[in-house]
Amino acid sequence: MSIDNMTDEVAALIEPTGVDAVSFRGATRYYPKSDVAALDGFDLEVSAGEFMVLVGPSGSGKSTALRMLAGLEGVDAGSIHIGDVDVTHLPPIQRDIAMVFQDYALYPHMTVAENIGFHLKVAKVSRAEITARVNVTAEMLGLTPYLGRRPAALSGGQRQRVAMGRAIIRRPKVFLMDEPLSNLDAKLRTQTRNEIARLQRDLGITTIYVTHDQVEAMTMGDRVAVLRDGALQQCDRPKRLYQRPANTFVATFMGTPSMALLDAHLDGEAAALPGHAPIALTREQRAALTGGHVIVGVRPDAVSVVPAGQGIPGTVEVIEELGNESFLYVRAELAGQSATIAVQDRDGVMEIAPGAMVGLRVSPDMVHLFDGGTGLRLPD
Amino acid sequence: MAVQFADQRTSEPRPRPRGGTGRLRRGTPAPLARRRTPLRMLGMAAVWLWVLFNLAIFVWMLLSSLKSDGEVFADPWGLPNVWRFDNYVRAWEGSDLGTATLNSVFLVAAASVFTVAIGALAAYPLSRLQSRSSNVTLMYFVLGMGVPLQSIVVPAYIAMAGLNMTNTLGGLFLLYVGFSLPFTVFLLTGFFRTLPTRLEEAAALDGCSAFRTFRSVMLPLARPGIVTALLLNVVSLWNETLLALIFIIDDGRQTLALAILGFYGTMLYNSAWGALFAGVCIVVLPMLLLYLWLGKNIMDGMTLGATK
Ligand SMILES: Nc1ncnc2c1ncn2[C@@H]1O[C@H](COP(=O)(O)OP(=O)(O)O)[C@@H](O)[C@H]1O
Ligand SMILES: [Mg+2]
Repeated sequence: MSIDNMTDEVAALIEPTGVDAVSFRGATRYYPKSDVAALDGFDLEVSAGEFMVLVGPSGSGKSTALRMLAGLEGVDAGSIHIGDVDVTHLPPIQRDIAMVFQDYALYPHMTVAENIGFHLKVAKVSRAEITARVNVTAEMLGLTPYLGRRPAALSGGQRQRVAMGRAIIRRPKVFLMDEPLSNLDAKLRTQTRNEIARLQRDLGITTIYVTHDQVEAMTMGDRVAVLRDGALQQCDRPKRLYQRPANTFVATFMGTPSMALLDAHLDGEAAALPGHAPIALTREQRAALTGGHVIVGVRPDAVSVVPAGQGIPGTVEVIEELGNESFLYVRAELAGQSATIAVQDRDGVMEIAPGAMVGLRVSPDMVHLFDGGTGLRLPD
Repeated sequence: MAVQFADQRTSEPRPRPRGGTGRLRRGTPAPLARRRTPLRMLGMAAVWLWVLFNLAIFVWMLLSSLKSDGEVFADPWGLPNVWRFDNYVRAWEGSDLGTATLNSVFLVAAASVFTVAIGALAAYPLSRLQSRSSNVTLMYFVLGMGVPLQSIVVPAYIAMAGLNMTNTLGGLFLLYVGFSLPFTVFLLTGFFRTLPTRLEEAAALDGCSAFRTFRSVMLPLARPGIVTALLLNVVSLWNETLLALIFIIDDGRQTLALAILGFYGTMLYNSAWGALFAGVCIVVLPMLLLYLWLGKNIMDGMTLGATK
């Protein structure tokens, strides 16, 4: 069933009652017995109906941010708002938020139907309406044959959908998901990823989605917020994040294979990379520098392999065949530093074996430049 | 939008690829479990000896309850020559076990259920609150477990006398609940601690108040623990004699354990061995049946924390 061909009455049963923007304003969280903030002065504006992804390595504070918004963790400083309401100190019930937990947190003693309808039952919705809404939700998620089963008798993918159903049926103002796909196998993960994104677009519910997987972040979010050690690094559209990373952390975190970072020093008006033609810096870039060091960021598509003896000398370490494309990982020796640079083998024609000596040439107009001291991006 | 969820296409029930042979297999145990160390053999031997010993006593008791008085000691291990089922009639009618049984059933059921009900209400918050006062409260209950019953019989008697509740089943009910609570709270607190907090968070987001979370989510999950606590209380209260002996005077208010005590005396005096054993069986068999019925729950309750 799809929303398009549902009758109006049926569609009305699952469509959200209203969407609201969410904003974190300097939200800070210290866990008991810790002097390090798990989330530190977090500022984020999520507009109504937006799909926002929080991404970052494990322990960067993503779950903490989500749990603070849900009312499951206290807020030590700053505030959190949903629509015009300051919810910082409201209990979860009053926030009208639904959440999909990483481990789904289904009630093991209830059937699928009871799990999905539990919120409505607690909210004292009439039994007839509960049944109708449970049926529509189950139909939408393909769970109808399993309504009478307990969670223990379901596959991982089915449990994941029950968790989704439990959230969707509520027509909440905000939808939170904490790594909802991490317990699925790779193939199912890719499929479900697209389906969640589509479902979110169709329902138009403001959604905050947490993941540590940058591919999920890039493919699902309208915008992506990158966190590290409890601090927001950058928040932008996926493409902008990839094309204009704000600092070296975001630059290396987004994109596979990772961007390689090479140390260069300022030599007159250019960044001098040992063994390579100087990379010219604009006046603004030079003005933004805090010291004499520049970091040159190189993505796999910004480098090409040239015969040994030209460009930056390097040794091929590993060749990664992905079928439709392949990457060479080249260990480059630059005066005083050695770095592994991934190179995209666009046509798959390079006849190179591991151990081969090659040269690398960097396309100056495709590199990313960062300040050597702060790691911040230099102006373009 | 036609949301076609991925795994819905692949996870429909499929026909079993192979039919079974119809013969149930034993399955080879994992190599680790198969190892026969001397310690393991010794342990197994000890366990089996213990089981056999208990079985032997039980069989002896059961057989004796069906023999004539002379036969009980003349031929302790043989089958009865004549099956004397009337021993049970003699026991039942001889000392008004009927009233005593009714008293015991109602008293034990009420006291156990009430103890577990308020014990669970206390244990759930104690398992979740991290405050100093909740730890002190739990400590207080734990200390209660260490107080020997005998040492507080006198103060308890004075207190009950002050309430005019000596020689009443209601008074005994209060005493039973009071003396059973410490262990029950301790057991259930430990049990609630093993239950995941994640489900309470899900319930909070679903709009549950603390009490609704307790009633609709935690209590059903705690069922093995609740049944265990109930069963342990029933067994210990069913056998309780000391308090009943001290507080109950009227024959009509006797509990079964108390009635059997009096009954022993009479039967010993008359050398009515067959009837005596029948009386013992009347006390023991209900608990045995209860164990057979609910015993699996006890095992679940005792091991749940270890495996989850
Ligand atoms: N309940 C907790 N008690 C103490 N520290 C915690 C707790 N939960 C998370 N932390 C700490 O807070 C930081 C952020 O955790 P979290 O938000 O779970 O990260 P993420 O979800 O990004 O992996 C981590 O350093 C983690 O160790
Ligand atoms: Mg997390």
